[in-house]
Amino acid sequence: MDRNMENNLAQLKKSRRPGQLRLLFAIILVIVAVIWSWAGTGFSIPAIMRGVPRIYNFIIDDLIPPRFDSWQKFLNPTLQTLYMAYVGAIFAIILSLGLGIISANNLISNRLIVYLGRGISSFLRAVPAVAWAVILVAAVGLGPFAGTIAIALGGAGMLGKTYADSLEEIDMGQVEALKAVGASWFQVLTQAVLPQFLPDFFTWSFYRFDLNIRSAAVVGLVGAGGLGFSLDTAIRLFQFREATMGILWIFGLILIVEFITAKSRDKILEGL
Amino acid sequence: MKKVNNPLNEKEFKALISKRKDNLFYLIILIFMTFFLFFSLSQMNINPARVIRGFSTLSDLIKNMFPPDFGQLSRLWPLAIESIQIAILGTVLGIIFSITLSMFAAKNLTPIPGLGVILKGFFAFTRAVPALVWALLFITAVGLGTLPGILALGVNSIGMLGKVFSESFENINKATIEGLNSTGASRMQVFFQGVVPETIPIILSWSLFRFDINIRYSSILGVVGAGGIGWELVRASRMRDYPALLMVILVILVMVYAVEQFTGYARRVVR
Amino acid sequence: MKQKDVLIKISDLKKSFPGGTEALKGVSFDVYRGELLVIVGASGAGKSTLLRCINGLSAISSGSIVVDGIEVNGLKGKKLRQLRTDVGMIFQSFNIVNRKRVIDNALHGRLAYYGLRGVLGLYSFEDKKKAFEILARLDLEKQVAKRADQLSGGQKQRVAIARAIMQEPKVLLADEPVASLDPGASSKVLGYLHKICQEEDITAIVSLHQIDYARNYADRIIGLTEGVVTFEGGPEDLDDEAIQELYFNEEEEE
Ligand SMILES: Nc1ncnc2c1ncn2[C@@H]1O[C@H](COP(=O)(O)OP(=O)(O)OP(=O)(O)O)[C@@H](O)[C@H]1O
Ligand SMILES: [Mg+2]
Repeated sequence: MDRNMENNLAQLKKSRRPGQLRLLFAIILVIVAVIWSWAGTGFSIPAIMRGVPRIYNFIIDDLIPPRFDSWQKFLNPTLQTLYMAYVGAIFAIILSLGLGIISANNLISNRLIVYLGRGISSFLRAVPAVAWAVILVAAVGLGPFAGTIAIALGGAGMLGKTYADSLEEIDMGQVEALKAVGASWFQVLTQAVLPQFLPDFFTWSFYRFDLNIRSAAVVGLVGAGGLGFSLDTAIRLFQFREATMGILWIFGLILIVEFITAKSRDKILEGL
Repeated sequence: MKKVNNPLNEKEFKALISKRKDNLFYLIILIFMTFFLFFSLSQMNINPARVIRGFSTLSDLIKNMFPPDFGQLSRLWPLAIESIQIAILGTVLGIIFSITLSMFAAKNLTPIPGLGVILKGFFAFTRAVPALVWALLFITAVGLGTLPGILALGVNSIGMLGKVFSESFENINKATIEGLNSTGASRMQVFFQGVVPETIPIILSWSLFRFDINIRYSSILGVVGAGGIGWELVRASRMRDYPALLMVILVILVMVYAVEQFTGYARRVVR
Repeated sequence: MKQKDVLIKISDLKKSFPGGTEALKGVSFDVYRGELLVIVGASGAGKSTLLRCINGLSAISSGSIVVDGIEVNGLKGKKLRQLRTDVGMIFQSFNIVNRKRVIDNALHGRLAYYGLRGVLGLYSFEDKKKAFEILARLDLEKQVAKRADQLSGGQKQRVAIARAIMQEPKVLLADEPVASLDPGASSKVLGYLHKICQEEDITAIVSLHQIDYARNYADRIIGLTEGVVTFEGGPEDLDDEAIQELYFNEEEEE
């Protein structure tokens, strides 16, 4: 009996060992990384201690309550944010449809083109939208034009990849069957590929529009128009209560847009 | 070909196979979307002439970027490291606070029912306000540097992780909690012996995902002065030093790519 | 009915895959106009590969396939699509477009006759009526406006038959058309297939696993073993000995 128990325990220990070893290793790695970052950034408990009351005072004295009477100031920037996000989404979708199709290895037989498509998407995706905005502001000047293009490029990177991944997952039997009736490449695309792709297409495109609202709200911080720009201006002028109002606008816009996109997405998916 | 009697008359047949109603629905949506597209374009003063001009100046600028200024590398490297460190601390801060707060936000664990609703509202707010805006606010409160960047990423992460973690706590098996409760375990014991082990895969994978996101954010936090390599973007573009600008972007790309490889590996190990 | 008029001539057909598998090792036989030819053979014998080569879905390695006077080997682009309109294909897993309606799936058979209008899915009223008639002959008139994913397996395969018939093909290739169906649906689908091919005077090549079905419907049977024709004859010639040869001889190694 005892013997048996001992054996079992030993086995239990053994079975847990590789997992535990890995866990231990991961914990050590995280601790080392934190210490390394702590030292590197000059992060310190006293700084936080000093910071907390300052943040508290800043919130209580400067931010609250928001200046509700300044709401009109943010009306136009909010609309501009919406326009940038929308136009950016449409451009990104158009661009990514092409990019996605040429990056799907089941639709394009030429490996080189597929790699090229995938490469372009990952490049566009890896450069943050704000970095695109900095470049575009330098090229075309301040304002929402730069922001729109920046958002479109960043979005195209993501959608190009997600579209391609979805396209690669479709049932090729249906594609093959239409090839077998003698349909042309474009006919196969719209009649066999598209019906299978549409649900994912709408899901990802709406999701991208949601993300675009967030991007559009911040590209203004580098001069590319919209709410970010007004927010930056308010803070530079020490109009913190106005800034709070602007933040509320951002929050409200995001909530409303997320609600509307969720509803329309469900409606469209249900009709497909 | 042999004729089979078509049991329907022409009108009935047409009605049967018609898709007109569906098509009308999509047509209306399409018209509305197209209208709103052109309306938005005109509101932003974007017209074909401007687009063409814009692309020609952009292509000039891109030409001027080459070759990238590799001389900047020794200066940019430490800043990239700083960005990574900001992301690490911001993520860890976010994880610690979101797990703690989720204990109080999850319906099945919270000691005070009303608190859960308030905390979920707090998560929604911290999630919706973008990281860069948080950075801007923290800069005003505590001054320029890495601290506002770390805090901004932390707060923004709490919003996302808090939502995910509290929902995953709520989804765990009821029996697990009841079983532990019946042994007389304390609230803390229930949490660490029952809830955490069951949700650890979710916690780990979302934490890694958030680290990926935070790396991207930390690379640009500097544009508002919250530390890291981001400021170099603004600096190079203000000085019209485009080869340096390209170099900054390349460093960001390498940084993001390297971290993504690492988290991808970690995710495979975790799974 | 049998006028022994050769519609398809396959000579010394060889097909190997990139991995090195030799799926067909020199297959030769003729298919006569108007007959229903059944191909039998153990799993991996090369039945699917053979059918896919006939309509150009797989490129052949060497040899020749002549369909109604046209050499399939090397056809490309428009010429290949032209050939495919003459060669209908039915698959084991139906391969109809699930998210489209039954009638749209039947109309897909006409795509090769449309250009841009086919891309947009705009078909003539005549074709729509014809699709309805064919579907009605397959007892699917109640399903025409349903989405294809709402159908049972047997119904789906009938839709696939309708699509193939809409092509007005000279020959119909069916690769294990009833392998994913239960026995009831299987004999029903084969019955429809047999009947409509006779009525439309379409030559058919059907690969089958079930010997009794083969005996019931075949005008002629060809047996494949590991890429080689090892049996050729009428249904009455496929006796137990021949079956033993085809299905169990080579299994011993396994
Ligand atoms: N795409 C391919 N790549 C490599 N080898 C293949 C491919 N398709 C088929 N093969 C090989 O070719 C041989 C013949 O396969 P085929 O699918 O034609 O057999 P089959 O007679 O249809 O079998 P089943 O009754 O199982 O459908 C098999 O050895 C198979 O592994
Ligand atoms: Mg097969």
